[in-house]
Amino acid sequence: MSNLIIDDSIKTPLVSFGFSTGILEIKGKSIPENSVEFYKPVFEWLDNYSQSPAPQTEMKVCLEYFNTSSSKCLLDIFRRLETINLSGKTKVIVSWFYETDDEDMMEAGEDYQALVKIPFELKSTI
Amino acid sequence: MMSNPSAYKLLHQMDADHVILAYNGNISTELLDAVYSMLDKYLEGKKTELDKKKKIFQILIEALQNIFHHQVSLTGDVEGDKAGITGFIIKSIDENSYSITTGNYILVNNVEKLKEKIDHVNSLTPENLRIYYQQSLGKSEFSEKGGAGLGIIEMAKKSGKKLDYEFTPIDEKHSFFSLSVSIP
Repeated sequence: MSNLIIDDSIKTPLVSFGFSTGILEIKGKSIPENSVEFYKPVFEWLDNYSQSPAPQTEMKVCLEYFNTSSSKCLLDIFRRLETINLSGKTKVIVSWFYETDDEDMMEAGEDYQALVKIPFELKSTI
Repeated sequence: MMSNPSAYKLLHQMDADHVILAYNGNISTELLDAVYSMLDKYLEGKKTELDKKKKIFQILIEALQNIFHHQVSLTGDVEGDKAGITGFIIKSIDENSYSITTGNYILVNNVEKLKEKIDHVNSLTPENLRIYYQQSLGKSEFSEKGGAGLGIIEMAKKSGKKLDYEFTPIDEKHSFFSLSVSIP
C-alpha cells in the first residue's frame, strides 16, 4: 500500500497520509463545490489502511476554514477512524489544530469531539 | 426598455445601492473561483482583518454554493425573460459590514420544507443554533445535488443575524427563492 499525497489547491487542502508512519494530515482550506468527489480517494485509502494500519495512527487536521459539504466529509473520515480504532489494530488519536483566536475553528473541533468516540485533542497554534 | 444603455446611470444606481458585485446567469465552478479571487483582492485592498475576511468568505461560500447546488434550470419551462434568472448581489453596507443576496428558482414542492427550515433556524438562540448544527451534522446525508443540508444553518450561525427570505410564485411548478444574509 502506498502513501496518499494530494497537493493543495485554491479550494482544496493538502492531504498527506503516511501508510507506515500512521500520520494522516489534512491542511489548508477545504471549500470545493463537490467535496464527495475530492474526498473519495481519501475514503478509499482509509478503507485499505484499515486492513493493516500502523500501530499508532494520528490524524492531524489543520484547516483555515471549510464549507459545510466538507464538514460532512470530515465527519465521515472521523467515523472511519472510529471503526479502525475499535478494530484494535491501531490506536487512533485526532489532533485538531486551530489558530489561537479562531473561535469558529475551535468550536468546529468541539462539535466533532462530541460526535465521534475517539481520543480527540484540540490544539491551538500561534 | 433601455435603447441607450448608460453605464453611468447603471453604475450610479449600483453605487447608491452599495453594490460591489451583481451577477445574473448560470452559476459554474469557474464563476465561483473568479468571484472568490475578486473578493479576496477587494478585501485585501480594504485591509480587512483576517478573521473578518474568513467570516465573509465562509458565509459567501455557503450562499453561493447553495445556489450552485440548487439552481433549477427553467429553459423551456417558463416564458421568455423569466427563464434562467439565477444570481447574486454582494453589497457593502458600511465600512465593515456586507450582505449577500442570492436568487434562484426552486420547485414549488420544496418551498414549504425550506421555509420551515429557515423559520426554525431564525427562531433559535446562538447556543441552540450551535446544538442544531451539531445534530444536523451528525445525521446529515448528501443530497443528489451534493449539498449536505447544512448551508442554511451555517449561514445563520456565522451571520448571527436572522436570515431574510422571500418566495415569489412563478407558475404551478416553480417559485423564486430570494435569500439575504448579512455579514456583520
